[in-house]
Amino acid sequence: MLRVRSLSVRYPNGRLVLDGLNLQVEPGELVVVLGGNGSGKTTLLHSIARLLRPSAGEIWLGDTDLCKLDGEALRQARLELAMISQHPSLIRRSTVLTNVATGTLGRHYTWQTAFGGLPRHELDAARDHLAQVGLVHVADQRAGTLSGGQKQRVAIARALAQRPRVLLADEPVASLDPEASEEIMRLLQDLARSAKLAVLCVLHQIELAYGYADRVVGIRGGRVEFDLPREQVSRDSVQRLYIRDAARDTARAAA
Amino acid sequence: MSIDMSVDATRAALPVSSSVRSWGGAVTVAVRCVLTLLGIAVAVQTFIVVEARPSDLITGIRGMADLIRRAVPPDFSKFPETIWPTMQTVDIALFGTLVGIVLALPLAVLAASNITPSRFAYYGARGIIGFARAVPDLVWALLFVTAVGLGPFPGGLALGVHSVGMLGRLFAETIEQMDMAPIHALELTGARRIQVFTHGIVPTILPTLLGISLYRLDENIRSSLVLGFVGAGGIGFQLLTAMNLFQYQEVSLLLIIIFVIVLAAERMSAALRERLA
Repeated sequence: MLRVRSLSVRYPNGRLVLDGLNLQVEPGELVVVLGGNGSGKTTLLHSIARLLRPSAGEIWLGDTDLCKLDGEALRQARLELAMISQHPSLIRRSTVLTNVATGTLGRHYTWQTAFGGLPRHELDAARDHLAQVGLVHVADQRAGTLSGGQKQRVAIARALAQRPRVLLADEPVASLDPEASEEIMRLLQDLARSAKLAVLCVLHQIELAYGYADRVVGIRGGRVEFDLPREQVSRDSVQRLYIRDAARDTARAAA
Repeated sequence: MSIDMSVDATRAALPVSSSVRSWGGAVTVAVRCVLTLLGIAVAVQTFIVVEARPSDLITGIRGMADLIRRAVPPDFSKFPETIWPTMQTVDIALFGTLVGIVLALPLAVLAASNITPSRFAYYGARGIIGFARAVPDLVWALLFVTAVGLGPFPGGLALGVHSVGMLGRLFAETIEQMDMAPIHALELTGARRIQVFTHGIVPTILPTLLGISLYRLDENIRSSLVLGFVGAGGIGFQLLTAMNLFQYQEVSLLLIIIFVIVLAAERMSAALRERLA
């Protein structure tokens, strides 16, 4: 489904953030990416979402290489690629239902959604997605009135409304309490299984990775250190991801 | 022992630091004195430049009392004749505000640095907004009276153009201060640019834009009263005519009407803005 091949990203300041990274996520699979600050986790997700252009490598979504796309073709490809982030970015003054249904905007012509409207059947579908995340009772409230955990669930419902094949989650539980974090991870796991989504999730919480991931990918210095089923991931190998690379730090300081 | 030593050390250090402090204090006091004197000088020169003569106020009391005596009671028999100009005054403001909103919105989109399609459009829109704002509405009215003749139309045009400047700037600032994260999130769903605008940007900023527009309407109603003085129609024109004809009882009636209009507009605008918040 999602295959990342020899992906490299070099920032304009010359720093190589991703260095020939390989990764694969299949439908129905929840893959968690772990790594220290600056290891390249977020850059990986941003590259897949094509928020930035990789320096080299390929990102295959089915039969399409996202690296080669631009303009309208990229917009079309994004329809199959949903993303949620640490801060659930909802339109605060719009209702929860409208926020969810906006996930479908790109599938409709501009005239069908003129003056802020949305097709009736999409609003009905949005209600179903809200039911999936257990929030149908707040459908008509303003999004700004929800708690952090609820907002994240609405963001997930919007991602579902998009009818994607791949769901990218960039630290989705970073600003949530432990209970809400478990809830969100359980939801992502369920969705991967029930909707056959390929879910790629960046996390800092090691315990959540052990609890919910099908596979865990450890990244350090822009390279994959390990890519294993969660039961085969040792605590030591995870700990090693967070030990700062002294040689690299010295080189960076000298630069 | 160590305590004694530290005390000695403090004593030794004191004269240096206190002298530095006293120098710093002296400079601060001197700066404050100069600033105070400057403030007084500015205030005094305003009295000289405007030729302020308090004695004239005292001798003028008789004239004012005479004026008030001739203005009361207000001539309410003229009320039917004021209805149409009053409506004109309110409609000049409404027309100007509507024209201002319609023209300012697209200009603000171009003039907001975070969503402008190009630098050329940005500077072009900023230039138009700046020019429309820099020229006072009264001057615009004089220009339009010359161009299209006397009446309420030049008044409406003047307020419209000036409002483009005032609203355009505030609208653009509102867009620039908007939280862009939800907008980027919407772009990532594959929504088209115009859909991001209608479903992301508009609902986020609409209440603020409406609030600004209501405030502008309130300001425009005050302005449209004055525009009549330069021939741009409405109750201001009637007030000027009554003054010129020494019809002070009509003047007082018109002033009462103006007071009611301004107060009503202010209260309504404030109440609506409160509801939008």
